[in-house]
Amino acid sequence: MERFTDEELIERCQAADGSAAGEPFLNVLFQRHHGQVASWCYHITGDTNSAVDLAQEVFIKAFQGIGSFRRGSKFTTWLYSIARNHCLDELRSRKRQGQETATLPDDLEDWGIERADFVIEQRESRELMQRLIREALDETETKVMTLHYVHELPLDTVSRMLGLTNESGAKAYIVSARRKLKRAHEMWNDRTKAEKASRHAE
Amino acid sequence: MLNKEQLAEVAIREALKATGDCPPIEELASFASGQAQAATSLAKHLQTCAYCQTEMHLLKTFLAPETSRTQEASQAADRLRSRSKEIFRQAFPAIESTPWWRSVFTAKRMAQASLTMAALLLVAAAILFLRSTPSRPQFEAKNQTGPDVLRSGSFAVLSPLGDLQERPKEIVWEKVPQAASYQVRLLAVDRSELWKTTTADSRIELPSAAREQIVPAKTLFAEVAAFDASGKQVGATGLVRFRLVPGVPGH
Repeated sequence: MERFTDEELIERCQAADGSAAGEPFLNVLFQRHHGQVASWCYHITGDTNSAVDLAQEVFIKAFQGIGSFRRGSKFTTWLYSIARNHCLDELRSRKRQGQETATLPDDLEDWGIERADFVIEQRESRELMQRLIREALDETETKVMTLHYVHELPLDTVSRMLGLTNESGAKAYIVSARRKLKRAHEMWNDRTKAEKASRHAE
Repeated sequence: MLNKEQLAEVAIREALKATGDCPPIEELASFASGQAQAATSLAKHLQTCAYCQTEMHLLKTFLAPETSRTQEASQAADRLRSRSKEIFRQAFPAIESTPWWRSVFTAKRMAQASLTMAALLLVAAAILFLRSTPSRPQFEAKNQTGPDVLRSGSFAVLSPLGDLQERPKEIVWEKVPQAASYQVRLLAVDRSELWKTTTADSRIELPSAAREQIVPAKTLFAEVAAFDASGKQVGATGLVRFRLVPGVPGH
């Protein structure tokens, strides 16, 4: 059975139609990929117990949903999607339950952003912010911001996921990124005001 | 009402979120492995999209080779492997077999066991009686036949499997080393037998009578059981589903 690709094993398993005949195929898939999933879960959680529990749940979900695997897809990508969604959900849930250890400083900086900037002209505002992010932030800062603000991951998790070894980890990158963005936004504001004034003068 | 700090966070979050231009994860995976067809446009998108850059980072971590794993990650993998039975039990509770020790203590089993014990005692008594008679020939262990053939469990049907574009001409399965013959069956979804045959080979050509049963959109099952020279079953594939897809020209 070792000669079969992952996708061929799934095809045979699907053909078993949920009967015990499919189990040997899934067993081969488990033997091939358990290390990959466990390792990734450890990378995300930084804790062996949580990693094993999460990886176990990932495989249960994958095996229960094996019938939905689409022909032409790649098993590792499909398995990754399950692992990613399951682990990120779990970490978000832990964060909401107040298990986050690191917090950001509560500095209510004046960004100079008016509400109308992104409520009335949301699209323009988003494009502007995307441009400022591209221009002002480096790759690590961008990833830190995405993981923290979009995926809502705790700062210590973000530090671990990106392998940040500095003392305050992701927190330092976020503080730095926000300062850079604020500065970039101020510069953009000044530029816009100057352009408006020049147009008005004309 | 949001304060300015919160408004700024909303703006950042909106800017970093996935957009309609972001490719599906399958395309990112193809790109990561250098197989993406539209590699240029994807590379351009990746340069400017914070969301996809982060996704790519996560995906590459998942696909990282085994050699890059830490000791703790390897320990997690070992512990996960030791839970494989538990995982299968939880994933497929319906096909879980009852543990042998639990089934032993049912009333029916106990009654069967009592009868078996009684029969064994009778056989033992008969053997002792025969052995004690000098004129009778002696039984010798070395005269017994070869080693016991144990049930090997499952082996696989190699084809037909799943949704088929063409009506299959034959059934092919994995060879079982100790098998002398195979019983092959074709079944309908209600498990009624449509066709059955026996062969010594690990494949069988489907006769026209069997092939006529394979019509588009009709789900069928193939099942092969392996038997040793003494006729004892040494393995089975279980039911393997296949179906001729509807709308295939010529069917």
